[in-house]
Formats: sequence, structure tokens, C-alpha cells
Amino acid sequence: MNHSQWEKHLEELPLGSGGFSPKSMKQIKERIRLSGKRRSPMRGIAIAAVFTLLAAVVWVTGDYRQAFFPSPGAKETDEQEFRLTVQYGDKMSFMARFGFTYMIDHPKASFEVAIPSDEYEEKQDLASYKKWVSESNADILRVPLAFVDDLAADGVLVPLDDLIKREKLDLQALYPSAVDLIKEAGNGQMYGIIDDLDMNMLIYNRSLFRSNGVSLPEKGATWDDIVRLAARFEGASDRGKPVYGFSYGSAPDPFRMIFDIGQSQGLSIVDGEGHPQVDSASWKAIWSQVSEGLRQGWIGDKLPDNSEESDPLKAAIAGNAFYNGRSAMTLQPYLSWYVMNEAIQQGLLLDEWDTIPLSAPAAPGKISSLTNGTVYAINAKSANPSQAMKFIHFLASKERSNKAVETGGPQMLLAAVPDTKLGESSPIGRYYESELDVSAVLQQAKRSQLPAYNRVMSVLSAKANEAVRDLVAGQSTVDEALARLQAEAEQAAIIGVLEASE
Amino acid sequence: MDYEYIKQMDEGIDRNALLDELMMTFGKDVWNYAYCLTRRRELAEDIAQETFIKAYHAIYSFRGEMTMKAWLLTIARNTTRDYFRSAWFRRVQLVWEEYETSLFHPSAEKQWFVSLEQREVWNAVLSLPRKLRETLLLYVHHHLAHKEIAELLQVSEGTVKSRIFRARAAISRKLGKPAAFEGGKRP
Repeated sequence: MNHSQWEKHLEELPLGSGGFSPKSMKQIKERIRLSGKRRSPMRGIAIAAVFTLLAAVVWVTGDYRQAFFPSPGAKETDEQEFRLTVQYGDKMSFMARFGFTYMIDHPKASFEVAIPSDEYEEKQDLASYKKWVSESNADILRVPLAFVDDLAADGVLVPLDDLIKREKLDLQALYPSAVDLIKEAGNGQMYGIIDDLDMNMLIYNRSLFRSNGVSLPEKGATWDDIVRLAARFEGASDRGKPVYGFSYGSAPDPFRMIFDIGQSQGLSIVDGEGHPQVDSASWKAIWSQVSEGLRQGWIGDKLPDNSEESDPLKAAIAGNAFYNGRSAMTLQPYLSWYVMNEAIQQGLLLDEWDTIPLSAPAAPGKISSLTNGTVYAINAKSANPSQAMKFIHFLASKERSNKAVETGGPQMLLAAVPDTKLGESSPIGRYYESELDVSAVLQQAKRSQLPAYNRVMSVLSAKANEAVRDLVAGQSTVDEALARLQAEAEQAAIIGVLEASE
Repeated sequence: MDYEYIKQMDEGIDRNALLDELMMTFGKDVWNYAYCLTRRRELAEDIAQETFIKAYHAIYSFRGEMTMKAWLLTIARNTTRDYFRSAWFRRVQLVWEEYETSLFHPSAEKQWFVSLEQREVWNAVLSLPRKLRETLLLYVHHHLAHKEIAELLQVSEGTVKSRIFRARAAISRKLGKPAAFEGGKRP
């Protein structure tokens, strides 16, 4: 059959009413409007003006020097011109997030980005990452935490201790647990700085605890402690609506809840060899507790109906029982604070709240896993490690963290703890005060890079929510459900290992 | 519509009016492209929204070296790449690679197809290897020129032409084969 006979069918994507719609357009405009609200107007205008001018000139000329004409904060410098190549997804995003700001104080700088290979994109393993690094000209790498020790041992990364001293980077200014974590990953030496950190913390509604006569969760609480407290809310209500002891997120996703709880308790879906352990005794306990809570109603699943809400931010608020004062506890990363803050500004969450780590029994008061973290490291092949270190210093500077807080951000925890009075209205201080169980975090990171991990995760993501629904409806037992999932996970793991060896 | 004038105007432009025009003119292209890359409606929606938000903020940097459509699709492509790289996406979204055997499940989608042949063609296209699929659709569905596709994908024009040739050959071969549901004979 000739292509001219069938290509006519590709004129239209046959999805009927699916696709871009007036509703999509409305949501885009609302998101732009809200993102403009978050920042201090004057600073936002100043930054936007600088970025616009820099972007316009650099885009046309490719020459950063022409972009540097008088602008706020431009520094005199005796630096020579230099170029840094940074591992990143695309240049536009890099320049908008980091590049232009850096160039204000370093007008002789120019940047390129090095985009990881398709092979690494697909495989996400150490071998393909190493291969890409060896072929790339990146000065600065964004290394998965799990790869740091191997890359360091193979001499792919520059040890930073001397550069840190020369650059006078104050390690005391950084989030202490992140420094411990990167040292642990590098067997005692620092091979990078961790930025954009995030982790789940337990957020609780003090007012609901008080009004229901339940004692508050204490630092060091484990999931078993939280279950005991949450169960005390069985049958609780407030102005005719049910109040839950624990809820999670803005849309029913019991598997994600179970998974995040498990991670907080130091559990992984695979063991150290990559074999699935979906039906371990510890996972079974969590599955039993969550399904019991859903059945009895002290864990929220029938969340407020947000299906009619077209705006994604409003839908996220409307669907979240905690943000509407109808749940005593929830688990969330700092990234979710923006949505919670909107709920508070809108007067939907008026109650007092606070936050503590949700700890594993083996490490009371500490956090066992991250939801995000980026290690910035220097390629041993870099011809300009000094300038690369200056850039990393900029990432890890208090000035950057302070500016982020002043302008309504950051989205996640930056490397340095901000000085700015964080106030009682934001939980960011609590996140920075929390301590990581670095061995557990590193173990989780390593296991998530094992060949079978993603395949096992795929199976659970596809099948686990249905399994939970069956459990709640009494159509199976926990043992039966987990035995089925374990069997499917084992099949999937075999495929994962075979693919990795190809 | 020629968007060359943007590079002359810097801040003297009503970004909100321009955004409306861009969304109305190119929204469908951006969404469809994101859908073909991700094969998920919800993700296509997220990516399309992110694309226009980024375009809004970066509009003054549009210098007219490529068409506006190609520029927007480039942003969409980079945004999709960022999604594929995010940790949660890698954990959760792989399920769709595993468990969707056909892009268009007959029971859900049958009312949208003009003909069975259309469904066959789309299933054949969307089951091509990613690089061939993307290149073919940019050419045949989005009507970009070879040069624009080459810039968007960061490959040579020769590679673009080769991929289109190979994609067409693969689909023509596939569609030329007997279809099982008709007992081995095509009309």
C-alpha cells in the first residue's frame, strides 16, 4: 500500500472531543495569573525586565556580552570570559532558572547545556549514564544520588573538598543532613552539593485533635503511632461532615498513600538484590492498617468532590480533605505547601496546624526517604573546575535561598538554609530542621536504580489500587491480594533484569 | 499568521492578547503533539498547558528563526522530556508502556473513527519506534518543513528525510499485510 493512500488519515488525531479546549485555555490563563501573584511585584518586574532583555539579545546574537548592559546588580569583574556546560533538559529552562541570574554577577559567563543521551533516558542506569558522561563535554553534572559512590570511585567526579575551601563555601550554612548525605554517598568525601531537596512530613491539624480530645502526635512518631491516633477519629464529624484521622492527597490514590507510608518506614518494594518484596510482613502490616482505616472511615478516601472543578489549583484544594479542615493528619512534601497556602489564603483552612517527621522505628525523629534531590557535581574532564565550583557555590549560597524565600518560593528546599525569618506561616523551617537517616535514604536511592525496580513499580501502579478497593469491599484478604501482586511483580522483575542486560 | 513582528516589539506587545491568539491557533497542534509523544491524555493536557505558560514568559525571546508552530512544538518537546525524567513519572508512567496493547481501545474510541482503516493507520503509526513516529507526525500531521523538523529534533535534514522514508515504508508494509479480523483477506 502506498503512503499517499493512508497519510490522509493522519490529518486529524481521532480523539473526538479530547484535546485542547476552551477549558484548557482558561486554566492556562489562571495559572499565569496565580504565578504572578506569588512574587513580590517590584522584584518580579525587575527580574522579568532583566531576563527579557538578556534573553532577547542573547537569542539574537548568541553573545552574552552584548546582553550585559546596565542592569540592577551588574558587577565589575576581572574575570576572563568563560563558558560552562551544564547537564540540563533544555537551554531555555536552564537560563530562566539559573543562567540569567548568574550572569548578572558574572557578566563574562556564558552557558551551554548538555542533554543526556536517549540511551540513558530509556535505561536510567549507571552504565548508560557513565557512557554519556564520557562522551559529553559537560562541566557540571546532575548526578543521581545512587550513582555518586561508583562515579567517585571511577574518578568520573571531582572531589570537592579542596575546591570548597578555596571557594570559601561555608558548609555550616547548608542543610546539615544534606551535607551528611552527600558525604555518606562519597564514602566520607564530598563529590557534590545537593539542591532541590524534598521529603514527606506529617502535617497535623491541632484544632481537630483538641476538639476531639485526642493527644497530639509527637516527634519520633512512627506509622503505628499515627494509626493509633487516626483510629481515634472513627465516627468523628464536624458540622455534619465526616472528619478523618488521616487522609492523603487531592484524589483517591490508596497505592500512592501506602507506598509513601512504607518509604517513610524505611521499606522498599525490592530488596538489596532487586527481588520484589511486595508481600513482606512489614508491607502487609501497612496494607492491613490502611485498608482497615478506609473500611472503618478513619482514613479518608471519599474526598470532597472536585470533579466539576476545571481549575487544577482549585481542584487540588477542593479534593484535599486536610486543606478543607476535614482531616486531622496528612503526609506531604514541601512542594505541596503552595497549594495548602492557597487554601489558607482562601479561608478554607483556618485551623492551627504543625508538622513533624514521620519516622521509621529504627530511626526515631528522622526521615528515611527523599521525594526529590539533585546532586550537582563537577565532571573530572572539565577544563574549568574553578568556574564550575563558583557556579555550585552560587547554587549553595545563602543569598540564593534568602532571595527565593523573599520572592514567595522556593518550590523545594535549596541547598543553603535561608536566614530570612521564616515565620510561623510556612512549614519550610520545620523541613530544614528535620534530620535525615542518611543510610536509609541512600539505601532507598540505590534500590530505586536497580534494574527490576521500575518494572515492579509499574505493576503496582497498574494493579494496586484495584487490590485495595477489593480489600475494602471484603472481596479478598491482604494475604491473597499481596500474593497476587508479588507474583506479578516477580514476573515483571525478570523482564527488567533481562532488559538491563541487553 | 506571521509572527516576525514580535522581535521588533519587545515589551510593546499585549502578551495576553497574543497568548489567546497562540492558544486558539496552535493549541490543538501542541496538544496533539504532546499526546503522540506521551500517549496519555492527562499528560498531554499538562504538557500543553506548561508549553503555553513557558511561551507566555519567553515570548519576547521569539526571534522568528523558525515558525511559531515549530517554536511551540520545540517547547512542548522539551517539556515532555522533563516529565519523562522526573522521578515519579519514571516510577508510575511506565505502566502505560506495559499494559496498553492498542492506543485506541475499540470499545472506548469506536465512535470517533470515521473508518476502521483510520484506526488501523493510527495504531500502525503510534506503534512505530518513537523517533520514526515523531518525525513522521511532525511532517504529515503538523505539516512542518524538513528544516524545521531538523531544528526541533536537533538532527540533520538528511536524518529527517531518512526517518520519514523508513516510517512510511514500515507502515505501508504493515497495512499491506492481511488483517486477522477479516480472516486473512483485505478488500
